[in-house]
Amino acid sequence: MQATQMDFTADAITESPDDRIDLLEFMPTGEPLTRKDVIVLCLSGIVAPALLLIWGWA
Amino acid sequence: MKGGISGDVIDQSVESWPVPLAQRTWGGWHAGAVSLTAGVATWSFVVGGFAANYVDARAGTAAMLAGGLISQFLVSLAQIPAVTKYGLETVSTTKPQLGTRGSAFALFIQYLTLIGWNCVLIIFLGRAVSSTLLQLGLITGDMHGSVAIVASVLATFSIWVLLLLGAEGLKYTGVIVAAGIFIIGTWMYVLLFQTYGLAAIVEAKPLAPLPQGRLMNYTIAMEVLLVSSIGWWAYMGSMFRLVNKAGRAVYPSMGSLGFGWAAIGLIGLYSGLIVGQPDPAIWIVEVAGPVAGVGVLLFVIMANLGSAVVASHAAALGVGQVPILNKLLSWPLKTFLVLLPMFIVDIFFPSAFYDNIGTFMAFIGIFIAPLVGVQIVDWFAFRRIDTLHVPSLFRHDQRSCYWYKGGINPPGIVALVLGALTYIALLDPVSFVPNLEMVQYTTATLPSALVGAVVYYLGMRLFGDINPEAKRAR
Repeated sequence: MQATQMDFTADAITESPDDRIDLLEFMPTGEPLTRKDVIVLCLSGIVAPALLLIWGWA
Repeated sequence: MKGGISGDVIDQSVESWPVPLAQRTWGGWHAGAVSLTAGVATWSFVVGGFAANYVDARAGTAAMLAGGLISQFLVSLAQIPAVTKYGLETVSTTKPQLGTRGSAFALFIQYLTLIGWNCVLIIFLGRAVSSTLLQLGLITGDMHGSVAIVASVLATFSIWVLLLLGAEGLKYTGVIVAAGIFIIGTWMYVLLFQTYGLAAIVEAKPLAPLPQGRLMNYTIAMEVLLVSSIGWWAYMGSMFRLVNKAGRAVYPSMGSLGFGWAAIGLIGLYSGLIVGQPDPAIWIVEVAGPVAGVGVLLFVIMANLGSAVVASHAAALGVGQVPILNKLLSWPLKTFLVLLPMFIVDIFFPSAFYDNIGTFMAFIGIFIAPLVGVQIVDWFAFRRIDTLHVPSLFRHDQRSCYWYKGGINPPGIVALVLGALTYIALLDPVSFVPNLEMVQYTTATLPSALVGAVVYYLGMRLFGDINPEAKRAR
């Protein structure tokens, strides 16, 4: 089956199960983590806990 | 229509298939509200009260918030990239690491974690309703047990009704419950500080510290939050596959499941230290009278019901990864099947379950940290996040490039087992009594995740297939 990205709509995936699985290959994807997201994660998940632990121990 | 009730087109938010980009309509605020709903429940107070055994208010504040944030950082790295990029639910994201059949182990862990804790929350809710009615003189003592059972069954039925609304039900329940949690949580803080004063709370001593010294107690208090928060892994796909940008999941994930639930847990820490009782249903009634108990009951109903709805939604999506169930069962039947064990526990053996489930849940929970470590290695060290072959996640035979050996990826399974054994070697997961002195420097959850990650990395490098997706091209 020749599926393209344009085929991947909510209606298209009402096809038979095998066709639906094939279509998943062409599914548009969400936006991945950006550099800013990684910085936010590291600030909140590493830097903030480290500062909290130092404050709590002092 | 097979799915939810939102129109003629299949509602992918209640299917275990990936949610198409066009249907991923949740913004950061919705995801944050639902995350807070999932995270905050009576277990927040229990965890805070447990930490009060080891540390005072200042050290406990730092240890609890730090533990929540560190765990959620790891959970976010393990889940957000795949869940938000491809719209996947949690169990399907484990197939590249554990294999098509091996992911049944992840389903087993997820289902038991979600439904086990759901039963605890709903039994607690039923008892809270019954106790409040008793305090208000609306029922007699001999009706207490029966009323608790009826309330639990009604709560479970309410969960089922809310689940029939699909992700929309989740979204609106989340916003209402999160607002309620914020308002009543603030009231609890105000009541606590007005009644006892900041100075007395800060001066209060830990209830039962371990004899191994201050550092060990500090670390164990943090470990309580680390191992509790790592459990949010089981919930992540259900909530964050409905946002279309990873960035929209980062703030709610860290804010609600890292910081938010720990912040509510601090109420349990402070009340545990100053009153010796973390349960607000007891200390608030003592200081503000039975009418205030109605406010607490409202909190318990909203928080526990909210958490249980999100967990049941995640469990139903996970169960959808079993092909035969996904094919035969509509969303209403799938959700009913997921809730059936809760109805049975609610009615036939609530006390036996409530009193004995803790040990079992503790041993199930220790597999999650190494699984998180394995997934982080897979997404980032092996760059699977870029090469993931989504159709292979939904083929359950040798056509899937994640079939490996008989549907199982041995390095992934071995990594989970060795990671879990690492935890047990370091710390008793039930009593939190350290087995080795080094725990005070390492915690138990972090080495467990690290061992899982290292074993998986080495196992895949030496014996595994790092790039199974390439087979498709050959």
